[in-house]
Amino acid sequence: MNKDQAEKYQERSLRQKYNLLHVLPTLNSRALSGLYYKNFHNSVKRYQIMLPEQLKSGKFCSHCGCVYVPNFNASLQLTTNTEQGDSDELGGESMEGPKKCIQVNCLNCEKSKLFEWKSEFVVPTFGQDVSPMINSTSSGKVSYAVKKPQKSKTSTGKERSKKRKLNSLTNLLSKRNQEKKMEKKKSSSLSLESFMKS
Amino acid sequence: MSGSLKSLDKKIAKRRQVYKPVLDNPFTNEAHMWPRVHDQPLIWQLLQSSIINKLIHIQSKENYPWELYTDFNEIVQYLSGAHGNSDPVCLFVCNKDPDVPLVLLQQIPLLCYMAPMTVKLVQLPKSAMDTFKSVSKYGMLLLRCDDRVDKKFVSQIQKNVDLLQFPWLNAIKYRPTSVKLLKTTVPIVSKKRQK
Repeated sequence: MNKDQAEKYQERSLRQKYNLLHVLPTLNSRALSGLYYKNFHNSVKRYQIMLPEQLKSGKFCSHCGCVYVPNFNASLQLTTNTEQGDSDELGGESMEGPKKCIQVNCLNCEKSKLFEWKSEFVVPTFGQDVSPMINSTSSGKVSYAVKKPQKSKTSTGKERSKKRKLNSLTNLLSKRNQEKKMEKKKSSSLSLESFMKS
Repeated sequence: MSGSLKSLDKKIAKRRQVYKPVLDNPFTNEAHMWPRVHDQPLIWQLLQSSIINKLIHIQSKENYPWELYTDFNEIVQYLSGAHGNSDPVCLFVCNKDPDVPLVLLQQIPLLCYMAPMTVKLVQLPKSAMDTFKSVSKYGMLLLRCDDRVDKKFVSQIQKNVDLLQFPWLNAIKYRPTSVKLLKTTVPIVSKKRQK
């Protein structure tokens, strides 16, 4: 497959897999979401694409892979760390005082996940914006690579063709004809002068 | 080589920039998760003057003149339809301040869309959290649009804030009709010819 075609295929396949993840909540079968979720992440790893933080945590259930839709297959709560007791995700920080946690309960697989209350401001970068960046850079490289050899080769080719044309027999004959024409012109001018004098 | 180069020159010369219409992606609209507020300073000014400045002076929550919720768990319970209310509701969120985490900000539009009542989700400008900290520590304010709330304020919000759009959630929100079979009897009609 060509380089451009490969990149287009990557973008298209990733987009389709991402779209399919959102179609799954409408289906009644819950077992498929994990399969599609794993498939999506496998392709992300294969193509070495950095997903934004929004997609990594908080949007999909890490156990069964379904999209969190509050009041449909997920429920949201704010809890403190002391209430939970056993919090594996925040194990290192549990020694400190009670902390705020966002608890998302997945109603499909009946497992809850705790998210730390991060107060860092992250500039939102969306999943779709990443791939056109890759395409633009690649297209720029391709165009840059194409231009250089064209210029050098075309100039040498032109020079060679000019030399060949000068050396050919037809050109020599045409030169002789031109010289003859010039002589005729001179004679004609002389005749005009002679007419003026007379 | 010269032939191929000439053909390349011809191809490049013939190509020109053209824009074709392509269908947008209906499943993921991350760029439009938060509905647009057309006149942001007006809404922020109205909210400050009519709601927040009055709340600051009131000491305890029991004396609030309107039915409003500032705790996140209370907001979630209300939006899940636990109380059975169907009045329209306005939810003000400081989604551009660093104090509110991303995980919450992701789920709030979906939560508002899936709510049984109509929810107007209003995103507030940057540094609105400084004013909100005195009212609620989570940066959210759920206001039930009662008769007690100023009608001009509500109409301005209805006019300037767009609706929530999640086309991939339509199939989830509207449940299929539950059809059951009822056992009854029907008289048998005889098709005899009357002579």
